Amino acid sequence: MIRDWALNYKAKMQGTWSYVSQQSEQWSNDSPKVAIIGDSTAKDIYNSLYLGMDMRNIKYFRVSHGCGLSFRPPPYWES
Amino acid sequence: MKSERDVLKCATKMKSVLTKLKAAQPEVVLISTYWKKNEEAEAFEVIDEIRDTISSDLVVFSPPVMYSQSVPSIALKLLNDESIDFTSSGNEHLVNKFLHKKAKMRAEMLELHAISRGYQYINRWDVFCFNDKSCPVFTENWGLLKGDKFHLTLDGAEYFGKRLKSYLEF
Repeated sequence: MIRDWALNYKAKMQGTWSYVSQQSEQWSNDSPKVAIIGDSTAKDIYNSLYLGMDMRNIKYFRVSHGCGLSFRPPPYWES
Repeated sequence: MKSERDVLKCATKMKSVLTKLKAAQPEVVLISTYWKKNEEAEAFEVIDEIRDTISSDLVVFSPPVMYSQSVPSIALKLLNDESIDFTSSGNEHLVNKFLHKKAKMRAEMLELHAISRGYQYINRWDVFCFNDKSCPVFTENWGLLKGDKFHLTLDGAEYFGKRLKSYLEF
């Protein structure tokens, strides 16, 4: 049962990673009120504004690995 | 040490992002990064460049709240611990020993750095945690807040966003 619970959360976690990119494309607002720039932690901020504050007029700008605002590798699952 | 090719690639990428930011003219720019060790100075250079390029208000976020193990692993350990009463309200007592202490220290150092430069700074630890020593693993409904050591799940993003509201000035 606990394993099922964990696997369910693994799926949810992976869902988090596709969420922003889908929404970013969907909400390709040319004049957002708020821009979020940075690495994967900036994606977390985007999701937080979207889900926790119901903000829609936002846009995410990714700055990739090694360019000052580093982009971390995808999340992993510790056994 | 970056190769010339990497430096060029980064410069091109940053130029592209800055051009898009200028065109978008957002009222506020939120900057968030993992703040890798020994890359703080480079990150602040990038932030300065953003500030010099656009007239938007800047908000800089601290590194994320980091745990010593992946949060799903911690959750499994907690769920396997029969001494814990999951029917009681509040789960502050569950997480204390799993926090990454050095990560918190680095967040505090960066806060001083950011304030000295006049940026609005939001410390994620203040938003996410209960107090100085205790941060959650679960939502009130026992949803998992993080998918690894520091990235939020969707439940976690909702939890964080609701708490973040009172810290943002827009």
